[in-house]
Amino acid sequence: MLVSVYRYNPETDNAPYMQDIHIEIPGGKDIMVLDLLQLLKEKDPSMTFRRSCREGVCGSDGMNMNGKNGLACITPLSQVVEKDKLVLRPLPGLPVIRDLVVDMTQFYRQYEKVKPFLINDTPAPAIERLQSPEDRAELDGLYECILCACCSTACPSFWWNPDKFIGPSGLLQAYRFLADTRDTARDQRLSELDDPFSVFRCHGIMNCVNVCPKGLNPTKAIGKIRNMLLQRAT
Amino acid sequence: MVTSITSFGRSGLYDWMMQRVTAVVLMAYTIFMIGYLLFSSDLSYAAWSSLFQGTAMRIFTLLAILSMVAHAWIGLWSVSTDYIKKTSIRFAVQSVCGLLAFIYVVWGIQILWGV
Amino acid sequence: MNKKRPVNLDIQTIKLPLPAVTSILHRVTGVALFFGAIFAMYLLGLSLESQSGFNAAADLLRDSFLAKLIAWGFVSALLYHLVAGVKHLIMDFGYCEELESGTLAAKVTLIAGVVLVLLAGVWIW
Repeated sequence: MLVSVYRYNPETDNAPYMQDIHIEIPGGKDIMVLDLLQLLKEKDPSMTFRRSCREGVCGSDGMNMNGKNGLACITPLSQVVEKDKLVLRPLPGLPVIRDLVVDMTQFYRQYEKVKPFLINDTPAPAIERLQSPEDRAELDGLYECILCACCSTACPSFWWNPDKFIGPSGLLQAYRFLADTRDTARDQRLSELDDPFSVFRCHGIMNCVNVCPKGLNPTKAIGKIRNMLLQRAT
Repeated sequence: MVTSITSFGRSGLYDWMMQRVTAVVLMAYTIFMIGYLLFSSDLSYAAWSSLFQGTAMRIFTLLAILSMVAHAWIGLWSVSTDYIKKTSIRFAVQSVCGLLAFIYVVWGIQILWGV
Repeated sequence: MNKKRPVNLDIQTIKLPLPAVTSILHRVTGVALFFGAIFAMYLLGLSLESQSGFNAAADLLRDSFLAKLIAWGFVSALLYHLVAGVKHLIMDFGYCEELESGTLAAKVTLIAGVVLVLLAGVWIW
């Protein structure tokens, strides 16, 4: 098969370029994209990408595979290869450090903005702050995010305003804490989101939902944040 | 919190709400006008001008124009801040849009009360 | 050592889902409508000015190919923008926010848009 990889080495290249590599998959097996990258790295040790857990938990190897963001380690070739060809590019919209490795600073900055931790001013009880199973169930589909950045870097609104629009990932986390009954900073959290950029740049194109490797739905979470803002203001 | 001084109402929620409210007004006006034009195939000047002489129609039309201007400003502001990264050019484009929006209001009043 | 980092943002290499198509068309028609309103306001003013103005406006829409084309473009953009706007309102109420329902809503929007554009063409010609 033919693999076309985005290559960029800041020490030698002025601009990124696409490198075409022909490769035979041993035994013709349906391996994961990450395994394929490993094979490519054996041929050319300069091939650079992030990886760690290789099972879709750490969120290190998010990349754009034949046009769609996803985690290389849990994406089988059969799912993405088209006409025996695979194009691998770094996550869109973030600065490229080298080959498939992007600088996630902008992404993390937006995550930081939503204060992704429990805020509770009441005195800490001797045991854990308890929650009813129903209240806890509200956090399902929110807490599972692994911050791989596949969603935010698939979002045109994030591409145009990565410094102002929080992006699907950050907003999913914002809602994770807004929806937490143990959190006491709801009003303060909402005030910080009520500007024309942070939340309202979402126009519901749902590419975040389309690419999320964990099957989460930031679009829905954003809608719920909007409803909270609306309820607070009317 | 991102601050911006050129958005319609400063608050994201306010802009969002205004865009929805004005959208509903514009939808009602559009459906009314298209319906009116569809079901009056032999439209005469007398019928057309008497329609716009009615106070209700003048209010409806002016409301539609004001809605269009607010709706368009929120939309165009959003489009311009997405795609035009150079502040001077963006400001120039926004100024042209703002001027045209103002012209629409004055022009509309002139047409409506000139009938 | 190259200090300025490149950004991978070649839109042609990125797949976008169907709702992205309805969204960008919503934008394009919105911008077009704002400027197309010059034409609509001109026609409204002309038609309400006097009997002869009314006749001139009617003649323009009957005889001028260019005027018909602009009118078709304007009405098409208006109707598509309206339908896509209704989709937005439906999503605001929390519907069609799953991948499948959202894609279906985008499909319906596009089909309704095409039908309305054709009907508008029939109406104007």
